Amino acid sequence: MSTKIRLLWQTSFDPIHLAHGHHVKIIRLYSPICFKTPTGWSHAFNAIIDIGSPLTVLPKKIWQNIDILEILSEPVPLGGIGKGVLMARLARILFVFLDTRKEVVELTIKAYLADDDSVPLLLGIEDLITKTRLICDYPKNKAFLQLS
Amino acid sequence: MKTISKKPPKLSRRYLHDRKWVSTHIQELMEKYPDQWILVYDGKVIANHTELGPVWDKADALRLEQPFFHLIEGGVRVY
Repeated sequence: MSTKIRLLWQTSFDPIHLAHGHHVKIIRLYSPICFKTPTGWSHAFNAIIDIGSPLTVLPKKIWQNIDILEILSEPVPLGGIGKGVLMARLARILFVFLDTRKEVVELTIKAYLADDDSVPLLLGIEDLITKTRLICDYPKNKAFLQLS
Repeated sequence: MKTISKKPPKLSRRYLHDRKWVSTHIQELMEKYPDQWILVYDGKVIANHTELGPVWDKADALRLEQPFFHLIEGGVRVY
């Protein structure tokens, strides 16, 4: 028996290219998640499933308000995101998927705690794709994570 | 990975409606709020900012139950 976590496709078009008559799709895959806090549960957040990101990244405001299980490093530079050089600490956190039918599925993962509040919430490969099966069917508007 | 008994709140119908509303209006939201976090409630944008903090604080100040937060990407963004 397996558990399915439903994911949501979102499609838009790049406005710059659109102005020149070119339809360049911006396709994202989202999953609503929330985190444990000292008093209960955080707000729900639409996290981007990002298989281009080796690890999960959390904006500052989120990790400042949730339970951090363990800090694993001092701030280290992250490339390719944010305003130039982004510093982030490696940590271990826990979150739950909200778009399941019955079960509540929690996941403990390593994540970067970004020292920036403008970055997206990204769910990266390690501890997510490494622990689940990602099934994508964009033409049929379906996607889910499967846990066995 | 495991299932747990102490459940977080379920996604409300209003939350799901707001999520769908954002998806439906994403193109105009990209024009109005490029690369900004937005707070949506009952099909309306309540707050927007380049950083999540002020948007979160607005939701808390208004005591909104299960508000919908979303980062609107202004175009192709490669992380």
